[in-house]
Amino acid sequence: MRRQVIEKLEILADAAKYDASCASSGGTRKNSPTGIGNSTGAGICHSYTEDGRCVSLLKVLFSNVCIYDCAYCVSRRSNEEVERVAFTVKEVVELTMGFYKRNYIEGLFLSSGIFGDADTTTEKLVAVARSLRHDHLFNGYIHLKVIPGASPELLTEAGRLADRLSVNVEIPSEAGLKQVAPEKDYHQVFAPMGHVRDRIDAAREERQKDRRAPRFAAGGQSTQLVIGATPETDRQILELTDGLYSEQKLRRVYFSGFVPLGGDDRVPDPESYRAPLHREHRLYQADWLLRKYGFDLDEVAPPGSANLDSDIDPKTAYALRFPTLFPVDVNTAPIEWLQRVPGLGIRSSKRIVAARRRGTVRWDDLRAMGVVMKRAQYFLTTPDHKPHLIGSDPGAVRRRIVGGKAEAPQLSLFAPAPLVMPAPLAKAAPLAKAA
Amino acid sequence: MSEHPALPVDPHLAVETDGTFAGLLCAYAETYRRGALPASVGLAGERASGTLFGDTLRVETEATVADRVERGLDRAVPGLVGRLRRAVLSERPGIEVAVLRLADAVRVEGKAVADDWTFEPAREVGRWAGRVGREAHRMEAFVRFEEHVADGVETWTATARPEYHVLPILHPHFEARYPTLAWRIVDARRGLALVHTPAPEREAGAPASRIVPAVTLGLADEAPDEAAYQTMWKAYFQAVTIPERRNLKLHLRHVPKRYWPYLTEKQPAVPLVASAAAPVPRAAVPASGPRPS
Repeated sequence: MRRQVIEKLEILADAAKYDASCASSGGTRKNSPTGIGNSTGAGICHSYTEDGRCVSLLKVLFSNVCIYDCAYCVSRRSNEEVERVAFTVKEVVELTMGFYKRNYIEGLFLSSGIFGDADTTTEKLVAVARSLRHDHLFNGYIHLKVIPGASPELLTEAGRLADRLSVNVEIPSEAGLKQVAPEKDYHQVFAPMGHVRDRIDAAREERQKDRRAPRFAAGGQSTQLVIGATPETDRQILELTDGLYSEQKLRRVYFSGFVPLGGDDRVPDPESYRAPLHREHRLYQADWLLRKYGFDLDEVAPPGSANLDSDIDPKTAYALRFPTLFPVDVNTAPIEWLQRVPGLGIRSSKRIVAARRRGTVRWDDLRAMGVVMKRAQYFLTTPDHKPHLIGSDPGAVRRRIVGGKAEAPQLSLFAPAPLVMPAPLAKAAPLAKAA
Repeated sequence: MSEHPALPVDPHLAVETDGTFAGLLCAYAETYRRGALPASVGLAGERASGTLFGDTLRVETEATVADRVERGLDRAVPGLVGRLRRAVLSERPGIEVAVLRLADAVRVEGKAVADDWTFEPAREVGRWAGRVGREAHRMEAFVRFEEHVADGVETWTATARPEYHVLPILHPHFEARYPTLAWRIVDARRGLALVHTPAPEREAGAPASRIVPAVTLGLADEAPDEAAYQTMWKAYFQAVTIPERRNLKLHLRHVPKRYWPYLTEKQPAVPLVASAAAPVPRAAVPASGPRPS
């Protein structure tokens, strides 16, 4: 019996591993005195895979039987190389509880191939969550995948039980999606996503009136975009991402560099996977600037641009594109501007602000604060440090930062150093706000 | 804020306390009364170093005095007490003096000085509190409980070797998470254990968990399911890696080697029938990770 569960676990975890999301953050859930588990809002990574990704949740499919044939998915109908299996509700519940009590995980992320109609599949996912919450008084994190086409009643119950719900967009353009998954379209994805958004909004409003009103996916909604399976550019991907944050109010958009699975000629061949991996990294950096640093889409990926600069991070690329905005005086600049200096993060910006309340911040003080000066030195001034290079020759700054790195062949695709833009009016906004 | 200027450090003054955080707060009250901060703080009975020719002041710990200092600090800078406490748990030589100097600076200047890393004591306290906090967070992530049974009573035991003395700050997390389980976390480096007793078995008024010498813990047999769950976790851990993306450098940055001896997923595979066989001994524990200087 155990051996059989292990075999299923191996197959169904393997199939779920391409889902990038493993977050256990976003919502807080208190434990009861007789219950087990809680979630604290920040999330905990209990381990890391050998490819360096966080392992926070037991992330498995309920079943890898699927009626769809999406070229990017290992569980696609036409893939004859995988064995088709399914857990029982009890097996998933026991695995989750056994792992949770041993402090292996923060909770469960349950997804599934679509093995009957949408409701049959969803009912199984909901049954697992129901048993965890009610039979086992489990208050840890639960993330459920929304199966497009599921009935509103089941979706309501899923939202009440789960901390997070998600529908994966997967392919960053509808044309691309049609190409690799002809049976799917964007309506199938965005209809349930919009529905979940409205339910989250409604529940939040209810709870403002009455604290006892039931919660609905308090950890919000997330999605995933596969990078490199189809020909969309980084600018297109970030445009979509930006829209998902503003219109669908998603908590997170994950990027998953496409890992070719072989045997399907609708997607790129197995030799090309390294490029998506590197793009994934740059996209996450850009996403961070959009979500945490108050950057606009156009500042991170200018209109008309294709991919992000592969040699330098998006914030440095931004600074080199707008050299007239730099260098920034650490003793007078508002914190929003300190955070725009390449190499300064949210924490070091706060430290600078704290230090300058008591006196003038000098070069050595920055070092004492632990600021990494490798990139920042070109973009900030102190009374004893006045860099000129960014004003006179931004191209030279770029060359110094990139250093001895061999120039990647695709570099010629992006306009390199001399692309210098005047400071647009919008850029003055943070200054004006702070003044 | 007070009009009184910051206290000088008397290079000849050494203070001895009982080694508790409350004792250190009392040391502040006492040295404030005398008008100078000590150059070193040691444990009563052990000669403080560096003050061979100076005076040694023995400070008794009084809960009321410690409470008063704590309330004052908390009023001045909310959250500072926790930061000072974590810094002390780094066990770093000299950190107590940095704590006293920062507490005194906060008395004089208020909140601004506490976050100013150009002020050395604030930087030392901030840096070491950060490291201790990170280690505590890693313990919350990396300890692995194993189920044991003796006379039908189950206990959940985890062993770790934390770099810093984090046991005193781990209990809120695990108490909130596992209130009904009898769990214990053993610090193998310090020979201590944080032991939790579920509410029904607790005497009225007793704390939910205590720190005791690890040798006082009894040994029980491994629960029948334990080996199977460990095997399943290892299988899961293997299955979620994407081989094409393997990046051991990144992996090591997230899970430094010094945690491996106690991570279930890093132990050699055990055959499935192991629950009946002899338990597999743990990998030898390396001396310690690199100690920051």
